[in-house]
Amino acid sequence: MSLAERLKWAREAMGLRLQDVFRRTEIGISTLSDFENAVREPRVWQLKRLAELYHRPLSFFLEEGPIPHQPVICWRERPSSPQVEEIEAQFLQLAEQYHRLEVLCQERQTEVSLPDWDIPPHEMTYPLVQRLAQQFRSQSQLDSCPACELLWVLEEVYQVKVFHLPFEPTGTAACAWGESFGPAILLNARNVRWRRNFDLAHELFHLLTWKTFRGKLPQPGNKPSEQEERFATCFASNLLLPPELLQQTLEEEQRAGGFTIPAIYRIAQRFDVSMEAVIWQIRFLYRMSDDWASRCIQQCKYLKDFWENRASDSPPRLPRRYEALAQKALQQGLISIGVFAQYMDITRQEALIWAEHLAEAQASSLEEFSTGETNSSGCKCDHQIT
Amino acid sequence: MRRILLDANVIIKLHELGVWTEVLLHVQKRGWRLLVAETVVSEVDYFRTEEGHVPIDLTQDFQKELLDRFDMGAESLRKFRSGFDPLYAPELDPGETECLAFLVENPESTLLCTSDSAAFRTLGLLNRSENGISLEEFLQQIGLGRRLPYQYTEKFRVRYTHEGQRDFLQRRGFR
Repeated sequence: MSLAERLKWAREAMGLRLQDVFRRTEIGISTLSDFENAVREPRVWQLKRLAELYHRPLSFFLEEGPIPHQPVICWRERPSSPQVEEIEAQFLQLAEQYHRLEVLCQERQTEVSLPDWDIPPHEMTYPLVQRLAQQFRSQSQLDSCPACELLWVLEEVYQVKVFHLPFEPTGTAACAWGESFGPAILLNARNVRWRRNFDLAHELFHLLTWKTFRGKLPQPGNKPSEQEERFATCFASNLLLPPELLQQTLEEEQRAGGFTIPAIYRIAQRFDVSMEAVIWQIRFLYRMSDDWASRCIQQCKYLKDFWENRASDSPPRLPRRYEALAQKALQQGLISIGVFAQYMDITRQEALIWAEHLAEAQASSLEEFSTGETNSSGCKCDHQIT
Repeated sequence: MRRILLDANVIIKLHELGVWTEVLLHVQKRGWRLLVAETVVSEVDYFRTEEGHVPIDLTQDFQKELLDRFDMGAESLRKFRSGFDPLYAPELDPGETECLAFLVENPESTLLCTSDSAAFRTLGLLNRSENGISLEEFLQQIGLGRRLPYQYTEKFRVRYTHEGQRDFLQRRGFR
């Protein structure tokens, strides 16, 4: 595929018209049209503006041959167009950048990967999903508060790339499995932490059963069925609110004064999930009616402002490991300062300060080693191995 | 006539140091030319002072012909990049790539003044270490020498150029 064809393909993938591109890049419509029809060649500064708008690296437009297979993104509820194209492009760009940093820094760990539950869809049942949640929990050593550890375990142990972006509707999240970058999850930065925890576990189910429901070569646009979504919710509930632990906690609450709305709040706080999640899990464990659950949720809603005084947090937009890799790549001269700014989503001036600090730190550590002075432990630097 | 290509980081630093105008005049006195890539012009929007952010506007300098601007077509960039292994060669931003592509096409008496480790590394990889210059060395050559942070020093340039040269010798980073 030529540069002209790639420009047109990238614009259409973003759901943009030529006039939209003109508005956002100040490159004239007839010029843009000439680029896409191979009448005129873009200058580098023009190509840079277009690449930024389309969330593609410059290299994408300079490659020849067919465009690589685009990863499918599985949404719980797909936001409306053209917002969704923008979010999807940002999400995939971040995941590709993360992968690029791993390759450049030679830190792609593949020893531990997510379990691959290639179960035929017709064999998937709720008891099986519950067992799968239990299996994942014990395999991943998620103890008394699985929600408190899940993000760390997914990022650091299984190398799942988790990003937080703000978007509407807030009730949705997404996941993808790229041929290059592997499993990735997109959470909504506008949600409170306990809501994001549940979304993370929910999306994890889709990744664990990717082959079951998406097949080996997924086609774009395959939305999860209602049944699959219910399985994902069941998995998330059982992963974050393990039945045996929840029962034990409920018994303690009963002994302390009965099952009340404040008790639900305390349980939600202990497992770092929402009160709704606790109510639905109790409803399933104790075979209560949907009506009972709805009434409880209504009561909680009235009292939520009073009881819900947990401190949430603003999630980091970028994973800690991603940031560490970007700093390492900058320090080793594997990415330029401009690329660092783009990867970290900061200005060039901010990136320049980063670069100066990293270089200074490196210079001082080099000096420590080059002086050859030994400390009391015989180590040729100030840092002792403890 | 010597031509010095300035990258965005160096332009910002010279403004921060408050010596930008002085540099332009000293370079003119020596009969050298300063070149800025069109992509770089769009990358230098402000510099920081204790009072806050100050916008950088190079328009007057271009009008007074104290600076020259150039730009490259996408095809030149493709040609420049085609020799590198996209997986293992350092990843450069468009401004630096444009400067290096220009330098490869016009190597005679052209130097790239940068403080970017990836750019120095690429110069080493291209076996063109003699076409790179640190800000420290550049200021010294025009009579404005001063002590600078490590990133702008000759030591820094040598270190990363060597890294690139090592890759060049081991044939790493090429297709």
